[in-house]
Amino acid sequence: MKDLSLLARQAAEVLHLSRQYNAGRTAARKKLDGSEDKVPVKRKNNFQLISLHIPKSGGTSFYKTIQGVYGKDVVARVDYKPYYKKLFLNEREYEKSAFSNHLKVIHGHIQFNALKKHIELSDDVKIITWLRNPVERIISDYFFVKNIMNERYRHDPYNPHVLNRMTRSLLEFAAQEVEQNRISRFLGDARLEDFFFVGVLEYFDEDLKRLSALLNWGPYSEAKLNKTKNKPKEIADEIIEKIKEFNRKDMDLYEKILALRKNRG
Amino acid sequence: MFGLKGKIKNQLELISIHIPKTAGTSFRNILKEHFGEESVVRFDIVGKEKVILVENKELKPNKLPAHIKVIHGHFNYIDLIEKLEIKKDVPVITWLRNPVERVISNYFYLAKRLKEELREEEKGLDILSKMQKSLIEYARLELNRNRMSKFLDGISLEEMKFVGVHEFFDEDLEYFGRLFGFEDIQTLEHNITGVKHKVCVEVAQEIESLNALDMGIYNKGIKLRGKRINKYL
Repeated sequence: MKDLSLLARQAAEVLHLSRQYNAGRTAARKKLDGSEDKVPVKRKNNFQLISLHIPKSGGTSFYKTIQGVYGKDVVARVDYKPYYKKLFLNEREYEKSAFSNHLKVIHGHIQFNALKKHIELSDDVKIITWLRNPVERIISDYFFVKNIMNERYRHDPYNPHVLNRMTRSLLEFAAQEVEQNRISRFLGDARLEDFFFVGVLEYFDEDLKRLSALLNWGPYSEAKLNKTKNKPKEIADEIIEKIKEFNRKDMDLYEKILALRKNRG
Repeated sequence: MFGLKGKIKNQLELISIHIPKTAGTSFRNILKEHFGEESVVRFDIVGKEKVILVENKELKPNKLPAHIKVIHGHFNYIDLIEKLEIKKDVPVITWLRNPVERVISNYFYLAKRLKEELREEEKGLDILSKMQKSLIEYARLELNRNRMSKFLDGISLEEMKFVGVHEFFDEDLEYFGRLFGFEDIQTLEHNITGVKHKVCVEVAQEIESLNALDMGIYNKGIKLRGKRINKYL
């Protein structure tokens, strides 16, 4: 009996000590790498070209083009998900403090402010993006997400009746604060001079040709733009006008870029 | 043959109109217990095409099997009499519920269904937060307004053999039992969506005004119930 109680006491002591040890280790770890400070690490890299993909602005097609030009080995997808506050490399969470040296080109949904915060930018890195008519962009986004919903809900015997009752209309979607002026929010504190190139989706072929000349691409495969399925051919004028109102900032930005483009000739 | 498609023949003895979220699923189980498991079927008429579903499968032949005596489900009465040959003496029953409560319950039930079907957390998606209507957006859609009136279009409350009120489920179920000669009728587990959802006064008021026709039917139902109860006092 004596031996058992001694063993029990010793076990409790070991447990207590190991807890102290782990707590100490954690504390030490916190101090060393500053994880508790929540200051993001600017990831080191060899990037020469950074393509910021504003959702529904021809990015997927453009990604295929640059993969073709530079080679899939040196091009990677980098996204930042604000909700999770995490960076993703080729759709996998990426926590390393540096990117592989061989990666030269990145493309993805990474907002400008997040880019500056999380990625070390060399003086000569070229940042590019594509803009799209904000109203067209939202319409595309809405039907794109709606298609996904319909697809995932396909097997329910009551489909589409549940979806008919519960899915937001285009206007309800566009009215949400999180969907208003998304382009401006994506571009954050960016100024025009931060960009090497800003293409306009409505002139994709022309602008792509100009970019290819600017970047000395040589012959390249012209990517075909994806078309969102089940988009109606026409949308009522009143809805278009309301969407414009919800996106005044984006409309102004878009019109500014169009004007610059026109002046360039 | 180019002949007109005749109405569907049947041997129905009872028609139970299940207005969504009026405690209908548990009521179907009660019907099964008292009329017989095989005699009672889930029966729905869905969509613009007015497709008939029996136990969630499309009814193909032009005849409802003879063993089916009771139908219970989501269908507008007016669509039912258009599609089925209904004899005049077949009793019709239904349950009513306070329209505001009913709309709220309907919304959260559908939201739960969507969440379960899409399984977003599992797939790292975030669609519903942007694509799902809010409660008030749901209530404002014409399709979701005055649903009780739409279901009961074509028949008045007075014409029905039994009109229960959800808020008095146990009492009215007992009355139903007496009316149809069932001893020992018991309330089973309700198919309650879960937590009672509280909404702010403005939302509740707007939902009420969006469902004026249903408020009319509900109030009438309460009145008729009151008269029935007073008759026995």
